[in-house]
Amino acid sequence: MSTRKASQTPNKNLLVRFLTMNTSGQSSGRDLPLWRQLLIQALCLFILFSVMFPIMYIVTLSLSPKTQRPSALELFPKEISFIAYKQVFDHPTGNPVSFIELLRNSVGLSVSVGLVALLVAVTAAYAFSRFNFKMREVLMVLVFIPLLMPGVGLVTPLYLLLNQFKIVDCGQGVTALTPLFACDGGERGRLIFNLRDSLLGVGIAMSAGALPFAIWNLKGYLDTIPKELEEAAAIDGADSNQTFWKIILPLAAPQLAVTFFIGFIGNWQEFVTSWLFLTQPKDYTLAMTLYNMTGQYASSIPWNRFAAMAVIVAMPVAVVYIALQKQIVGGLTTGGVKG
Amino acid sequence: MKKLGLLFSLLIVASVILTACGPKATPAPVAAPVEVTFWHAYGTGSAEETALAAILASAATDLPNIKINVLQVPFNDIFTKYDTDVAAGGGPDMFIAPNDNLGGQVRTGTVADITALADGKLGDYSDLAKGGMMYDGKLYGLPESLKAVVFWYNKDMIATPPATTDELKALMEGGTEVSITYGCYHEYGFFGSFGGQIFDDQFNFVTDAANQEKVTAAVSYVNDLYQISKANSWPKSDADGLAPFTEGTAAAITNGNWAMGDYKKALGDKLGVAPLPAGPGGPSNPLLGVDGFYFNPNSQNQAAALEVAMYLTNKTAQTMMMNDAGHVPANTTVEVTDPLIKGLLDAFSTAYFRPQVEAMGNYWGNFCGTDQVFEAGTPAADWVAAGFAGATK
Amino acid sequence: MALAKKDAGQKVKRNLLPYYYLLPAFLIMGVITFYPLIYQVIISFTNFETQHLLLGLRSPELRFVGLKNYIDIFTGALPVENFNFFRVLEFNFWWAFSNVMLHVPAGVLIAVMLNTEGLWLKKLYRALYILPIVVPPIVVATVWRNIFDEQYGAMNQLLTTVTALFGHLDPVRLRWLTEYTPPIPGFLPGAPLTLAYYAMMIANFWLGWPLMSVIATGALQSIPRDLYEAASIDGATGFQQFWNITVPLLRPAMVPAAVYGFTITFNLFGLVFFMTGGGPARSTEILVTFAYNLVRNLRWFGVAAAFAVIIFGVALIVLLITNRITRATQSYSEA
Repeated sequence: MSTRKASQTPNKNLLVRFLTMNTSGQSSGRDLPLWRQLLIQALCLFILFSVMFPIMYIVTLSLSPKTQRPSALELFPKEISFIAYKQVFDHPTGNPVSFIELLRNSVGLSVSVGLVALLVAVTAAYAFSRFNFKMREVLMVLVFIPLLMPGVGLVTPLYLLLNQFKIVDCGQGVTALTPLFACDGGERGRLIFNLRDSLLGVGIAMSAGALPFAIWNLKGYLDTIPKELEEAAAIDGADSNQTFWKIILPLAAPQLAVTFFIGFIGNWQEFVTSWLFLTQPKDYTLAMTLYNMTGQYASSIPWNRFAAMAVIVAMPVAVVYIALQKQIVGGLTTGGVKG
Repeated sequence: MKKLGLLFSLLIVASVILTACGPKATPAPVAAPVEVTFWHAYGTGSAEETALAAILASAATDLPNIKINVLQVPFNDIFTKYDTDVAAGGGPDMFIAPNDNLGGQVRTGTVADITALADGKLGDYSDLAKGGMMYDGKLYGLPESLKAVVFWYNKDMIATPPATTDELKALMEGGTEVSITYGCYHEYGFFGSFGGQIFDDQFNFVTDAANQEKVTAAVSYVNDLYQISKANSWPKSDADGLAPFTEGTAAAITNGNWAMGDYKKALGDKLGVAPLPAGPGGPSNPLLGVDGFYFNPNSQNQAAALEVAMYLTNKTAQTMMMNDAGHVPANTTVEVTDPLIKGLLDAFSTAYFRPQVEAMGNYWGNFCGTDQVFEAGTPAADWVAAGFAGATK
Repeated sequence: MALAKKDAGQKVKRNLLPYYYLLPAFLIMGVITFYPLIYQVIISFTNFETQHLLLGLRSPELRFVGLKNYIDIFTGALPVENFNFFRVLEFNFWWAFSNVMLHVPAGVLIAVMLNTEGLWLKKLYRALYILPIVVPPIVVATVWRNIFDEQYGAMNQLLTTVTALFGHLDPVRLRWLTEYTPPIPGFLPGAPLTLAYYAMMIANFWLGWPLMSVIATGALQSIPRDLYEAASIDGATGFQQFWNITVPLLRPAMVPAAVYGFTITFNLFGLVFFMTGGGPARSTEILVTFAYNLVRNLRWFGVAAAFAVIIFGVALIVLLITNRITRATQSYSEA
């Protein structure tokens, strides 16, 4: 190749040779001349700039010492000050709740809702995926319907439902669990615990939406496990239960984990339900705090704190996403849309 | 698989550690203090919130038998959250907010009548302030401060504030950046400047032609100001105007005195205040609102809550709120030395008491679409006529 | 004999087994999902409001009003400003459709570009391009709202710089989020598209193409290279290769992705609500943001319930249509 070139065009322009130099780093396969490489690099950098631009904006804002929105555009911090982060860690909101408590509530809520949804959904998903029984289509549609109803639609009845379960202190050491029992003589009693106004209640409400999604997603995954495995197990004398617990579950474990993480990300950022239900600051979550900061008298949003909190809330999601991008995307499309 | 396992175990470990790091169990108190829960809507980190925190800190020592639980709720949500919770049987013992919705809340039964409870205890509070907490002759709240829209200006940029509407318009036409806050609430004061009325003494809408002309004149005037703001791209809301005014780009801003803390922190001695300019019809009459503590009818600690509210509005507390946050106190025992506060009190003398009647809803429902005139170009006369017609349907 | 009996017993057990597996999920869902759904449908026929919150359906003042809530929504008789159900519906569909039409090709093109052999820093680009997805939606909306700010927003500043290069020295002050008059008059008859729509399109584009790009990358890597080599030996240009090999082979992955994107965008509460709140005079209102408004701010729970049922109906129709499309393309590629 090179000898032919040399003999045909011995004094080819050095610049042209430089620009058409192959940069693909592979001896066979397609060439990638330098000029094309540079062109694509320029495009990629431009795209990178457009992607990073709002992110740099937020990060810079979080490093600013002033609470007001800067009137000029700042992409790189003029002065780096960690005061916003410090304020977020010390005193995240105007409420008496510490950052650790918020973090604990967020993590606890996201993890437990994700786990519960996963564990309850996996048997149902298996049943839909593997068994063929009379009511299969009907029940599948039934599971599917809540996914079509917007979350806003379920909130009011759940609020009412959970609001009915209270533990009240009737005085003289008697406690009652309404609505099953009530205090004597129609006394209201002192409220000790209201299911609606607790993280447990919020967790239950969030599971209402998390369960159907988990069943749907897992079913899609389980569909991709070849049936030959079960047939082989059946030949070996295992019944359905053993096949499920000992063979299918271990095999599907990575996919189970991915469903869990997709659910985790969703729950981590969810604030609408917790916002409507909770009134005690000790139950608040990080996502709620983020929302809390935007709804004020508009002039008093502490922008640097808001940005710092945004960065903190985005971190775990970023870590999970970057570590598991392939699986998560595969999970969303396989499990999801085939229906 | 390894990555998943690692992440998973990290999560579990994190949950366990955080649970262990939770708040330690507090030893049982000697005598169970009465718990009073109270909500507020002061912005995070604002002057008002900081002052409130300081007052609450001293309350912990001065009121040892009462444990005060505080919750901050964003302003755009506090009425909704309170009403929903109270209607569902719960809610805090009290909350502090402007009397924006007092009438509506009384009608749906979400605030308690405290006329009997507070009888004889409110001698220190001005009648003006108490009046703002009353509906139908009964008292529904404990007043804390007075609020209305006024004209804030930077003394370095404007030597004397415009005293008449013509002067203000000339100032803006001359190129001085003024951040007017447009909207059915902030603009109300200009109706008085042109002699127009929305309500008469019995809170009926004043629909006769002569009055409508004056209201139209007011709306046209504000529209003129809007077109100047639009042409110059000056801020048109208090949120947008905050940065320019505090940084010295805008010479003036029309806003309520709740923002005084922020303005004072940025401009210090350069901050000046004046009433909204008077006009051909007389002085301006912005809506005068009263902030106060409202009590939950479901609450079982109303007496303790009242005690806390009175502590939070006593002379020391109100002085702190006045100096740090710009609140015009409802407590008459407070000594007013700040010229800004004196200026505010002067401006309030011509203000119009915010009506609590149901008809006020018709004002909001029919006169808030000002963009129709400013943006869509509907003639002011037509819009005003339609507004009155809609309000009296 | 005993064997037959045992078989029969096992057969019964096998028949009931799926139901045992389904039991825990359906039991829980029955309480927390189906019961609220049915409750919601019931109250959509009543005049449920705040005062009924305490006793719920047992409230003495609760009245059945039949289909009044539904009729009010469809005819615009609700006492809210600027609400026209069909305009909101049309806008919602157009919003989801136009977004997907933009994101999928962009995602595919960028994925193809990143897939070029020998490209330097490929892994870095791939890792960073996914960042828009991890930022919480409320933050994305707030940041973009700042960017489109009339006075200090980055977009106007950028436009000012660009137009200055062409000699037009006045600062550009487009009122992205507050301008009433649509820039292209008559576009989208029945649901005029204001500048806020274009602002949201740009913001959502930033948010949307990375996911499409990641899906396309995954699918691209399963296309065997021999096809391209064979095609280049046959003399096909890059563009022809793209059109005749890449596109058809990406279709089975991108069509479900497009459908997924359509569904997500259709119900995209976070960005729309926090960026424009429904836009100047509800011109950018979508169904879910209005539903939230009904529940949270207006607290007309009966009307909100009716609205939720209507949204459900719309979502069902959309699902049936998209299912048809997905199945059609699947069988096509299998054929």
